[in-house]
Amino acid sequence: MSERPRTATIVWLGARGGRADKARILATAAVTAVAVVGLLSAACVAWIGPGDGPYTSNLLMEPGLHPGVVIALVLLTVPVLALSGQCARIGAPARDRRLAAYRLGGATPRDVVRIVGAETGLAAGMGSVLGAGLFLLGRWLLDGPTTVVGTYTKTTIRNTGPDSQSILREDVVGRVHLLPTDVSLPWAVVAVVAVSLPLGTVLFSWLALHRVVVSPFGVVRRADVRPPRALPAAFFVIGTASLAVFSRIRSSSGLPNEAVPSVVAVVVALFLMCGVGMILGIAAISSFVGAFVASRTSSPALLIAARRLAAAPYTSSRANAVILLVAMIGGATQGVRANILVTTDPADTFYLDTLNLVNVVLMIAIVLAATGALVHTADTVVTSRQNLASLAAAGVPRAVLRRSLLLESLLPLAPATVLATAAGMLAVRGVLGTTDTVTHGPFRHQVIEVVHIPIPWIEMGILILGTLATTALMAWAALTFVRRSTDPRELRTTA
Amino acid sequence: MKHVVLGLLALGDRHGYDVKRQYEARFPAAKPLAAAQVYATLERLERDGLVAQGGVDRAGGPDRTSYTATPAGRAELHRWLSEVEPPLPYVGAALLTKVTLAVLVADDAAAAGYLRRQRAAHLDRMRELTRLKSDPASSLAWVLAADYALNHLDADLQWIDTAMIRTADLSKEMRP
Amino acid sequence: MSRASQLPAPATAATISARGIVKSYGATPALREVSFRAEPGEIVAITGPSGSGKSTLLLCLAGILQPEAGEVWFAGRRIDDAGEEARSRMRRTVFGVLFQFGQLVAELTAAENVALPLLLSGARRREALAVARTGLDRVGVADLADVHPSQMSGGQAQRVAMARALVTRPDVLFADEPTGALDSLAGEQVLTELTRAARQGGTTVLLVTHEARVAAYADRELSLRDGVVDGPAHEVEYGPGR
Repeated sequence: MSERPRTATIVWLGARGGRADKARILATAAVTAVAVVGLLSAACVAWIGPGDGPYTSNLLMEPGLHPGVVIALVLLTVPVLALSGQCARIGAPARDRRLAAYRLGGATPRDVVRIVGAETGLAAGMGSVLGAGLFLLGRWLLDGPTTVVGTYTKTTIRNTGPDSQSILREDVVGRVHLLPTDVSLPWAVVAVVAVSLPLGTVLFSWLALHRVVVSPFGVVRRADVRPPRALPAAFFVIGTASLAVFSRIRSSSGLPNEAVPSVVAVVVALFLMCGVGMILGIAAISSFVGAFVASRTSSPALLIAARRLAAAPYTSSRANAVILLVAMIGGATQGVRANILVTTDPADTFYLDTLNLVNVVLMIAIVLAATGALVHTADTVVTSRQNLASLAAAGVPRAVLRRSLLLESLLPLAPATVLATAAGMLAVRGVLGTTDTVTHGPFRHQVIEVVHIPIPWIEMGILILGTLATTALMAWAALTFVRRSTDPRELRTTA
Repeated sequence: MKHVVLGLLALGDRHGYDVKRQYEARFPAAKPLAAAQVYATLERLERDGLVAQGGVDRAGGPDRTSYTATPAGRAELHRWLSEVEPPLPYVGAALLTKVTLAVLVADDAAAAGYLRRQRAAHLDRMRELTRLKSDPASSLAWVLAADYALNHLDADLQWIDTAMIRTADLSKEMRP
Repeated sequence: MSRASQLPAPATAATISARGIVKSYGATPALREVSFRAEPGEIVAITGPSGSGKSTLLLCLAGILQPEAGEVWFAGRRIDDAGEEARSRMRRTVFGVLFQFGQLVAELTAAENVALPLLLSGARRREALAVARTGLDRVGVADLADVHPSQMSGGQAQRVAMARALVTRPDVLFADEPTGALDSLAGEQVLTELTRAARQGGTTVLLVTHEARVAAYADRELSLRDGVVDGPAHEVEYGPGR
């Protein structure tokens, strides 16, 4: 008998889970498929060559806009990947207990790592193959119907001299593609995307495994009760403040006013600092809000929600982090939008169209991020069913439990969303300035006008309320599980 | 004794020998009654007016006087049945007496030493009984008896364990 | 029978011993220099009131916890400084562990649970399950082979856990309050089976308990109090107590 378990055993132990584990595997696969489709679409746009096209959308026609489209598509996979992280938490306590039980049954830390790798790799690999397949199939299927005969703007750039070009735009009638289905994407790119995503998912799952590997008894017998630290919140405040006064610092310190790499690097670093600080700091907010509300409220729903928040600030913060990140990016986007709309010609609809498209992308991102809240709330309801059942048995009405679960997700999210949106907005205004110049008039008689960039209050309000409403809706949808979880039979469940 | 006889007569009129037989049927595991003891008790009860002589049954044998419980007798029986038995009114087991005296006469170290040896002896006996009980050849009667003894020894041991902690605490108190 | 007539045990025999074990949880000391030795096939009860360090000693001996000072030796080799991988591997080959509850994998059937240590050591599924069924039969729960732990009573689950702990025919079985969650009759059955199986297989059993009636199943007792071995040093037995 060899010392190590057979691969078949590893795969069997990885796939041998309960209902929650199957849900996790399916969700991981589905989300990975979506991410693969998104990334392959981005790659497709990036690989648009001079011979491809023409396309109906200017976003695809202008090579200069391709990086923006690619970045938007890649950014859109961020909430998708975060959702995948949230999916990896479905039934996590039960899975950790199962892994700890394997350890008690003699599995070594390396065995457990292999088991988890098998499970996650299988799920993400399945999703990846599915996603790549769907993408290639979709490209093939959509190529015909989405190639229509219509008008498109043909741009011809002609070099007219060593330093001068002439740009010719003309409306032409011909076969035009709605989507870049004609781009020949190298197989290597498809392979890299399809392999790297599941690989990343497996690596991420190993990072999250630390506690089970190190102390199986801790998982079986104790819960984690670290108090959240305030340091990340300080990161967030400092990052936002620096961005907010960025243009003032730049003008006083004599840094160039253009987007030179050093300035871009500083701005990106500050944005990262803000984002990371916010993601890590939300636990502190949850804990603070929970403790604050719990010691003052006399509403039972609020009391339960607040106490649960204060007791486990990390669980809810995990679901909220992506929502806040999207809210922050959303706030920044609205700032950029206000800036562009003021400084460009209102007659040219290109900018407005593009900005509207960006808002559509933002809405999709919010929905994706809020789906994480759905997954989280459903998981909470199912994993804490013993607790819920005992509360119900003690006479707490289900309506109160439902309200408290809703409040549990919204209580820390509401102030944090306002903060995040405001931070994004402040940062953009700090970097781009609150005023700009616009030139009018014919050549040689131009008038330079200084315009104030308005704060887009309405857009901000829609963004904040929309985010909260979407999240509330998703959380509410997850509450359908409450009835089953408060069944008195659940009092006996140990998992 | 007197209440047991009264109780058996309350079930129906009986002569002396019948009382003895009934007793043995109702309490099979107890020590059997002597016939003389039964007759003496019946005489005493009659003197106190708690039982009365009934008819003489001479069918198929020697004359037998049957007894019946008087109303006073039944009242006395019910008074006794409704009376709560005092739970362990006097605590005077040999083990307890010895340990208490050890603490008083010698010192708590001697008491602790005694307790430790007693504990070892108890545990030895418990091992013996456990082995007997675990043996598949042992009869049910033996397993029941072993269970009974093990439970009592276990109660003793729990007391010994607590007593050891108490004497240790006592010595800590006295020598801080 | 004179001691001299017995051959001394070879150095590689499955003797487990500890010397000067120190272990604390944060600032709270759990074990303060505890030494201990169990000969092959011995059944030793480790007793003491709660907080005396008896479970900690067991976990240190089983290689689940690492002591801060002192040494743990098994079969002539020092094991406390081995890596987590090596110690985990020992737990599924030469050691068996049995806890009060919660050790079975809820998602696996009884037979699969019992087969787990064999599978982790590289056995084929069919063979491992066959051995597991025999093991279940030996502790009298053959009919539970395809039942999940959640459908079992506490006593049944403990018997399955016992079958798993014994399935590799370990040299040492570590049992921490194995009947603590059972009523007295179910506990009695588990202990009877446990000691019988151990004596048949020559397995050393270290049995942590706070109950004298459980300790009575062992050959001898090691009593702990406040992290040290209880009683004057000369009363502490070493070597076979039978």
